[in-house]
Order: sequence, then C-alpha cells, then structure tokens
Amino acid sequence: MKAFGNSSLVRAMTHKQTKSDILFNVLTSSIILVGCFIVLYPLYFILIASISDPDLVIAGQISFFPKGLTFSGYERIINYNQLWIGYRNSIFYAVAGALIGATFSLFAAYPLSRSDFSGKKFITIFLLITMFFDGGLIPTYILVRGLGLRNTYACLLVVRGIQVMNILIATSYFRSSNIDSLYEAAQIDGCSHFGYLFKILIPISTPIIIVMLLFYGVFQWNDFFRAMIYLDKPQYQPLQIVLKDLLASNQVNSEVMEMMSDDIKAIDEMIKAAESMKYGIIIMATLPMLLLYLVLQKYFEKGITMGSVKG
Amino acid sequence: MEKQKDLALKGQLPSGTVWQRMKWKFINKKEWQLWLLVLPVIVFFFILHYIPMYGIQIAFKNYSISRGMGASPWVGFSHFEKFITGPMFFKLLKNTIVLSFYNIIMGFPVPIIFALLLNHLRLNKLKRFSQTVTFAPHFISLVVMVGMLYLFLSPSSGVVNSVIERMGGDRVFFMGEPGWFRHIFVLSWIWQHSGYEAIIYLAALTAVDLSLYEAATIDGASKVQKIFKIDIPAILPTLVTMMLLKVGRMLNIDYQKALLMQTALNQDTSEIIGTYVYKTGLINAQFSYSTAINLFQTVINLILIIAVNKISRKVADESLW
Repeated sequence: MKAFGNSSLVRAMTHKQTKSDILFNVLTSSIILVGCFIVLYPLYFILIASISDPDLVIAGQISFFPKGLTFSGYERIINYNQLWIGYRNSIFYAVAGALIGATFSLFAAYPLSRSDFSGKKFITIFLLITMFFDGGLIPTYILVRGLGLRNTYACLLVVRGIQVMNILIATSYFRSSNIDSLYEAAQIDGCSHFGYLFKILIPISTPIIIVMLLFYGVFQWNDFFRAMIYLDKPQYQPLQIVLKDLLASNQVNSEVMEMMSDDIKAIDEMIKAAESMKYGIIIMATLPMLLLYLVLQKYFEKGITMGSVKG
Repeated sequence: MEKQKDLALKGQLPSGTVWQRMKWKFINKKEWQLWLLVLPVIVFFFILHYIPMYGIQIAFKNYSISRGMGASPWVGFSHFEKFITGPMFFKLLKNTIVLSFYNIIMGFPVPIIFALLLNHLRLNKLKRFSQTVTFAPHFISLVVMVGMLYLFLSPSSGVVNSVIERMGGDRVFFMGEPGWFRHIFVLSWIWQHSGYEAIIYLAALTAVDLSLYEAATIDGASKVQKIFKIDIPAILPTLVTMMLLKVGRMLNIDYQKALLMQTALNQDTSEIIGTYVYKTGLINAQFSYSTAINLFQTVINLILIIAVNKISRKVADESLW
C-alpha cells in the first residue's frame, strides 16, 4: 500500500530528535504493532484451526501453531455439494456483476463529468435522491417479484447492480483527469464523444476501471441479503447463503437446543464434527477476496479516497 | 458551415432560446452521444429505484397480493398509528438509537488515533504493513464476520469460552445474552472497519502543508504538540463530515448484521427497526405494515440528515451539500 502521510518528508526536514520524540516513536510503533496483532490474530487463528485437531481447537489448546495436523475438515468440504454450487454461482455473480456494473457506471460517469453536458445537473440530482430516499424493502420486493426476477440468475445482477456511489467515484475521477481540455484537442482531430471515450479516455483510465470492477465484484461476492430474500432455490444461491446457513442460522438453533438439552454430550459430538469444517469454509470464502485485495490494494485505496471527496 | 465549426471549436453557443440551444448542442456538438451513454443508468434507476417509490402507497393501504396495488383499499395512517402506539415502538426506537450511538461514539476514535499515529510513524515498512493488515478485514463478508463471532464465542466449542474456563471463569453464552449483543456488535465493527476509515483520515492528513511541521519544529514543538496543533485541526472537517453522515443515517445502522447476530434469546436488544421491518414484511408477510414502518424510518432519516447538515453549516461551516 502506498504510504500516506508526510513522515519521510518530515524526517528530511527535522534535524534533531528530542527525548520526548524518541519516546513518542517507540510508543507509536508499539501501539500500531499491537493493533496489527489484534486484527491479524483472529484470521491467523482460523487458518491454523482449520488444519488442527478439532478436539484441541475446542478445548482451547491452539494458540500460535497448529496442533494435531489434520485435513479432515477440508475433506469434508470437498464432499459438500451445496458449497460448490454456491462457489460456482458466486464466481458467476461476481464476474458478471463486475462487468455490468463497471461498464454502465463508467458510461454514465463520462457525460456527468463533462462541464458542458446539459443534462448534468438533472441526472446528478435524479441519482442522488435515490441515496437518501427509496421505496424500501417491501415495495422493492414487490417490484422484483413483478419483474419475474425471483429465482433467476439475472436477479442479483440487476437488483443493486448499479450503484450511485460508484458512479460518483468514477465521475470525480474523470473530472479530476481534466478531460475537457483533452477532449478539445481530440475534437480538433475529428473525434466524437464516442471516439474520445473509447479510444482515448478508457485506455488512459485503467485505475478507475479496476476500482469499478473491484467494488462491484467484491460487493457481489460478499452480499447475502438480496440472495436471502429473492433466491430460495439452492441452484441459484451464492456462497454467502450457504455460509449463512452453516455458520449463523443452524448454529443458533443448535445452540439454543443445546442450552435446553440434558444430553449435552451427544449434541456436542455433532457440533464438533461440523465445527472443524467451519474454519476451512471461512478460509475458502474469504481467501479469494483477500488475495484480490493484496494484489490490487493500491487501487482500492484510490477508490476510497476519491469516494470520500464530497460533491 | 464554416462559422458553425468555428463556434464549436471555441465551445461557444449560438444565441436563441434554451430549447434552440439544447437542440443545437444535441446535434451539432453530438450531445446525443452523451445522452445515449447515460441512458441505461437513467432507465435502470427509474425502474429499480423510482418505481418502488410509487409502491410506498401500500403503507397507506391494506395491500393484498390478489387485488394488486391499485385496487387495495386505502386505510390512511392506520398502520402508522398501529406502529407508534404498539408495544414494540419504544423498544425498537431505543434499541436502534442506543446501538447506533454506541457504535458512533466507540467507533470514531480508533481510526483517528490510528491515522494520527501512522502519520508520524518513521518506519515506512511498518507503516505500509499495518495499513495493509488493518484494511483487510473490510473485505470479509458480513456472513463470515458474524460466523466468526458464533464460532469464537460459542458456549460449548468456542475458543473464548475455553480460555475463560481455563482461567477459572464461567462459560458465557455471548450470543444468547441481550446484555452482550451491543458490545459484540460494536467491538466487531471496530475490528472490521477501523483500518478502512483510517485511510480517509490519512488522506486528509496528506493535505497538510509541510511547512507547518517545519515551522513547528523550529519553534521547538514536540510530536504530541504537532498532533494537537496541526493534525487534529487538519482532519476536523473530514471528521465533521463523517460524523454528519453517521448521525444522519443513524436509523440505518447495519440491520443486516443485527439480523445475522440475532438469536431467540438476545432479541431484547438486537431487535432494531431494520430487523423488524424485514421480519414483519418478509417473514410474516404484513406488507403494508412493514412498508409503513420502513417509511417512518426513511422520513426520520431524511429529517435527521437535513437537520444535522443545517446545524453543522452554522456551527462548523461544513456541510454535505
């Protein structure tokens, strides 16, 4: 990640360190390291727990290294069919959703970033209104049902498939890259808006294209709520629904049951068997996004800071 | 023709009425291409976001699926009355506001402190590393986040309880106790999103004029003094904007997370407006009642965000629009 802040320049300009400054530096570094540990440890724990003996995990014997190395959890995962259907669906939703969302957001962002476009104000307000006021859960549900989108592959690509925030981010990117003067030059060479957008602007705007693809892709991959209300047939459900059933819902029931049951032992065994699988599944669901993030992190950061620019 | 081309190059418009000018731009400046590019988005938002606004009318009707939206009978404000005078109203409002405020108050210092410390950190490698690490949980899905909570905090198999027991304490059913819900909600929010929010503050800090630090150094200011006299004033506008957005969207506190964290036993605190709208609407199929509650929430939100914006424009000279 590109380092933010001024520290290297400040260092160049400051000559001496006072004692309190040294103390400050030591303290700062330690606090930040502790912070990193707090963030990293739960993730690391899941990783080592996924390859450790479930009995030891449950007993709280695992702390920094895997114990009783076993891949039984992952073996169970391989035979868990619904998970693979979810995985396949999520890859489709993420890839298709990213392409559709990014394409239309960028198309809309170009006119909105042009200072001479007569529809600019009207369309911006038209879009902004939906950020603060919308029909809400049920009217949207009725509409989606009316459009016949329930239980289709198209559903998640359409509902919230294009988002105002992303259009605004792309607009502010185009605006900041000074496209008006570039356009004038292109126009003299006989370029139309289409020609300019596709031949000149898009090729020089790789960062924003990646940001858009990532934002829509990650959103589609991580979101569960739309799938929960619109897709009830397993063949359409994305990974997050499979995860939810496994990690959250069933857990609630079994846990409530467990609190009320006298025969804790038997249920304990059942939970244990499922438990070892859960760690592995979390890894499998999260790893693709984390890897994507690590590879493309500088773009993510760019998108966020551009998005936080108001207006 | 020659004259028109000349005008187009200079970017000037011919005189005439607004419509004539628009028509001229539309054809001669090829503005139709711009309209064509933005058209899919207009159509999309009209269908997916504006048509549901028309559907809000069912909040004032007794909507039945068989009759359809138009033919369902009007009932005025009776759904709103039922909600406001009902037994859930104060509980929902209290739970939503308390959870939201707790999250805002507890959630805002951590990213700021992190950003301020990071800004003065001299070890660039550590800086980069810590940013990468703390930003990462933002990419974990809500389901996985809450799944992790269930996993770690389980009374029978959770690692947290094993540790508690080994240290001589009693096992706690974290997800089943109303008293724990808010703490878990907020702490996990801080864990997941602090790194993300810190980036916004760091971006504001990069805008600080370096000569300020130089001058402060010459005047013998310590780092702590620089933070309080230079950095904090520099991020204040960003801070105000962020707080405004959060307070303005107070009732919209992440109900999806609350829904996932909700168990039969912690509903006393975990039932908030958003979860209730979902349950009455889609689980109990009381479409009109749910829409009324939803509209109530949306309108309060709208009032809040406008009010908060006005106040801040007066007090801090900062506003969202």
